[in-house]
Amino acid sequence: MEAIGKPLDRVDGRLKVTGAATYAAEFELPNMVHAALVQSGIGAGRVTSVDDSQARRLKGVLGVITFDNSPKISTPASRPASLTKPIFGGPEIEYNGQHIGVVVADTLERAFQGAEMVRFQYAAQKPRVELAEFKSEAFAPGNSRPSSRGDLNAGRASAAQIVTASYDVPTEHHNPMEPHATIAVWNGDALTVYDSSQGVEGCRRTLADTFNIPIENVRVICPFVGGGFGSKGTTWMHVPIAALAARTVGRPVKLVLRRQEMFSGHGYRSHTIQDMELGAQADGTLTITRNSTLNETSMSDDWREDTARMTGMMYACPNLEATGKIARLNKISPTYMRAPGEAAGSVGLECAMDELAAKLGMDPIEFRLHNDTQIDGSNKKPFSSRALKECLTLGRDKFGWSERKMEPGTLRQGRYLVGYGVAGGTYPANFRPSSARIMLMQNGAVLVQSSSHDLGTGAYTIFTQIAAEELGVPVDNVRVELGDTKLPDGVTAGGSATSASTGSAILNAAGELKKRLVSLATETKGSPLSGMAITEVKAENGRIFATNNPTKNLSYTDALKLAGQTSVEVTGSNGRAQRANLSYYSFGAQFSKVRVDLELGQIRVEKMLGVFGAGRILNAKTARSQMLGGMIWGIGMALHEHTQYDPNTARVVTRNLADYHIPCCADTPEIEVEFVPEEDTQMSPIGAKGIGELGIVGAAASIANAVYNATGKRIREFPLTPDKLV
Amino acid sequence: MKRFAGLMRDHIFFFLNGQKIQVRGREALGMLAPFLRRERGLTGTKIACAHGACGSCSILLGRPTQSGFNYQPINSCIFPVFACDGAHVITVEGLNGPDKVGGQDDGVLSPVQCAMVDCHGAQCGFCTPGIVITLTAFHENRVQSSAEDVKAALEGNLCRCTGYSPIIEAGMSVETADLRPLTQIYPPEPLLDGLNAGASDAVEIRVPEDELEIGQHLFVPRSPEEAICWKVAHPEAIVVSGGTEVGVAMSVKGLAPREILSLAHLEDWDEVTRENDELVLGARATWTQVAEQVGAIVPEFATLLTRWGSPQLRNAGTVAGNIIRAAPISDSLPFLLACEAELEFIGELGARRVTVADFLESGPTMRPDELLRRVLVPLPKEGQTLRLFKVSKRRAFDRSIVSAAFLLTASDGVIEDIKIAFGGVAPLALRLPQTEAFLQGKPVNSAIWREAATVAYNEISPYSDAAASREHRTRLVANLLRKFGAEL
Repeated sequence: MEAIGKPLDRVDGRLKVTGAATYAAEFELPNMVHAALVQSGIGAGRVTSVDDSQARRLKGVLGVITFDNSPKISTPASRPASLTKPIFGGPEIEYNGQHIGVVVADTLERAFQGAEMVRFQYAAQKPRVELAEFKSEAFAPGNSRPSSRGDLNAGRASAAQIVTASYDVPTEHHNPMEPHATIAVWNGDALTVYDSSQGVEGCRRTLADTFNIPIENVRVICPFVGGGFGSKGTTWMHVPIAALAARTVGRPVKLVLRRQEMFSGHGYRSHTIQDMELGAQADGTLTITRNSTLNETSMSDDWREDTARMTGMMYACPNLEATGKIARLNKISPTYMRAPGEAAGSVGLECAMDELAAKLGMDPIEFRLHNDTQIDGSNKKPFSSRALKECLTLGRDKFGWSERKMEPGTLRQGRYLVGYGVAGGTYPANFRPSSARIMLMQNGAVLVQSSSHDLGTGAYTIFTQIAAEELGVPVDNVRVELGDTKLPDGVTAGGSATSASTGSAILNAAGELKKRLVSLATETKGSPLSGMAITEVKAENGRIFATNNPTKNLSYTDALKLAGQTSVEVTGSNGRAQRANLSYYSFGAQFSKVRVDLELGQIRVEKMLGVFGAGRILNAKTARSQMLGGMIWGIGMALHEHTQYDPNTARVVTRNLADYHIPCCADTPEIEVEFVPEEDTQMSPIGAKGIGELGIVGAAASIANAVYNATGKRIREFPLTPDKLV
Repeated sequence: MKRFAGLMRDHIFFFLNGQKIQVRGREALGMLAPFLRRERGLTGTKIACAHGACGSCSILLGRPTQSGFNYQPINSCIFPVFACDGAHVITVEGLNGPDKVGGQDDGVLSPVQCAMVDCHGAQCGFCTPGIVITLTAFHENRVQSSAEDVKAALEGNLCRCTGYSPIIEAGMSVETADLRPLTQIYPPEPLLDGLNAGASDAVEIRVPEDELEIGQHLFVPRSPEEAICWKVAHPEAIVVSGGTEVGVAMSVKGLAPREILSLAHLEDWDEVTRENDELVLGARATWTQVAEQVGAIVPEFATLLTRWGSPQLRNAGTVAGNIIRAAPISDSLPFLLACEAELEFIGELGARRVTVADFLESGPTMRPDELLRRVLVPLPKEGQTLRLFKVSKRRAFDRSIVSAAFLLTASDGVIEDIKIAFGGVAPLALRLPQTEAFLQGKPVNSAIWREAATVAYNEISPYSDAAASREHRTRLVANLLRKFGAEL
């Protein structure tokens, strides 16, 4: 019964195309009321007075909580984990749009109206908004992991060509289509929360800590997530605020962030400025690599965008230094956003590689192949698998790379300039503790349960396939339940770790379940296998049989019936950790062809190809779609996405989907995805690595490199908006 | 207040997934998407941006026609409930018929839904219902479609997961032979019958002022006379035509107007015709109606229209809204300025015509009793060249940074006359008279456009905002002049 690797349709497809999938805000509870956030109108300073009298008098308003009258409770912050923060800001204000209160009312409109009526007086200060202005104050945080090897001066001296350049990737926001939403309901000291979350387990711990109640008293439910991309990986303040509001009014409370509130209600991709220095000998051998990154963080956290990681491990280079510093600004803390570290890190490294290849007069693919390595230079460990070379060469053949002109600005198509670009990509292959339960019913139905998530990635589907294949039952017999803390602890859906981690837990549990069935079949009187040694019996394809005489067999369901059991269940974990003597990463190569209208500065990505070595592909459809989505994110990063702040108020100016441009359908180029065959069982028992993040890495750099090839203009400040070209 | 001849209703009614419903009071004054989700439990319609900027809340609005209903996707998050009066609204739950609503678990999937499952067009699923709605409308009455057609139809639906390719593939692979037209799923006759009684009544909804809540007052007239009379009596009323501008203010900024005059039922104000040498655009014509008709009349304008907003916005937004709002980046005004179009207002004293230029010059303002009735655009003549440009950051579904219109009359290589208008370079769209005067009588060659670009550079004084800096806008004006010249 082969199921893994097949392009099985999404098992949740029907629910989604009919609108029947239930997201966090769509659970209906009796007596539920609505909450609206009150947010600070200044970027820095103090609230000097609060007047909520008018809001309290408003018809339908059930409660007004501000920092002024709130019980003083704190919640663990995103980073570092030891830090806790009061759930409301104020009187000190750290950023514009900081939650400083909440209004609960019988209708959403009245809650909003009430929130408008809470009056604040402020003593505002000039906020810190522009990262570059605070470069001199930047510091290396305690959690820094700089990479350093060799002798930079020696490397510099032996280089025939050196590129020194600075690359700027601005603040970006995830903008999942589903806004963050929480419904909280108390029953005595027990709290149930429906939350749009990438990790119900983390949310549960945060809430238990915040309200100082036993973790068993908290249940978090989230069967469907309308996209997260990292923005729902951390439990942001609106979640405990909803729970506090529900406790205060004694009724279930629903709190949904409005799109504009998502620009200050959760973190974002930190603005990074990467100062790169890259040098090589005339033959293309890298002799020096230096990346000194500056990124923004909040006034109290020390979020670090780990661009150094990719610089440290991507290519063979004996002399290297990759460091990072952070500077404090009046913003909420940054957070994980699709391929944290590598998405921005690949812009610095892969654009600099392109610049150096141009200086050397080398083809940029040749240049990368020349510096390919099977050893992670940052720790001297071999990679568990690394298919960068295969990705680059396959892509070169498939993409029509030979059409590219070495001399930039020389390829024309009518009145447009045309160019080709390439970039490498990588992302750590993460494997984290996870568990799952499998239950086989007497009627042959299989239930798989874990508190992991499907953010739209396809986890429901591939988990169905894994269980079906390992047990040898039809996929239609398998049902998967996810996103509920009453289920076995599953990994948070982040870091592209779900398939490898929870998938392996399901694989192991299914294997264990088969052993139970073998025991059952050999121990049950009346079974054709009764009395046989378990070593002589196997379970496969829905049947239990004697290995030396397969005609002696019975079905799983008959084994249960004979034993008089209604079901058998096993809870399994994903087992051993990765071996410490290897380095675990996925790899890819991105190819772009662009068409540029130099008069209007408009760039059109005409064609893209992503080639990836990402371990075993568990479902060809879901994997392809993940990669396509990531590559389109690369178009957004290259051409559009930019969260802009008002320098005087630190307020986000682009706080809606009309001004914050995510790619639209018209931006879709001719686009394809290829996977090079790879199965990495050193990485995970299931052989999978991880695919959610890898698709974006290198995509933006390949587009910028193509724009250079088309026009001869090297734009290092992202996004490449029309004003930078004309 | 003057009494009207017609009858008056204190509620609106429309069909929702084949079922007739009445809405009265404050509910009728809110937006359709929250109404569907909260009051009707139809949570398949998602609210993602509440701004008309993503299409997740798309529903099918069926407007009665002579032969049945014309179904088009619109953004329900910025569409007022009252504007549904007399229509048939179909949500994702109702796509397979009135008896299927709510029974999705094992019910039949439409060919569009099947294709979306087969092609993996849904990932997180949050934009999916809106996309299913859009593709359903797209495939209604269509036999074949190209990938470009599908992409154009989907321009108003943002997706953050799939990278669109699987959705486009789904749009291409719909089993059209299996498609049941919506008019078959919902036979029009009973719906039209159900809408008949009271169809010609005006609607007046008053929500009395409460000690703690503001009063609201909506009037939906049936005749221009009623509309003008009510407008005079309620000078503070907000006039709503397509609602795409007011809807955003109500949805996002919490605008709750005390008085609303809806033009939704001035149905015969939507003509798009050619009369002699003029293009006539009725004030209530949606931009989709305009786009469908002007292709044969002014192809250049039809092409530009495909780059306006999104299909959903063009299905709701009207000529009147775009012109009266007179946004600096209005995509219509440069075209109307260059063609020296006239606006026809009607008021208590009858009709009055004013050029678009004079209208803008005046503020823009109109008299308290007036409503825009139609726009008259002199058509480019034989030998004239009309070019229209829109520069935006994102390729589609984006506001203009700068928009431009050029109308050139040249003979024997000499510029006899040229009209140049720009949007996005001043608080209002404007003509560039100095540049025009400079070009008049000059020979048509590449040098002249470069020189004209310098004149234009000195003639304008653009503004900076989040979309673009003053410098960038200035450069675009110069480059657009050169581009126009180069592409002649």
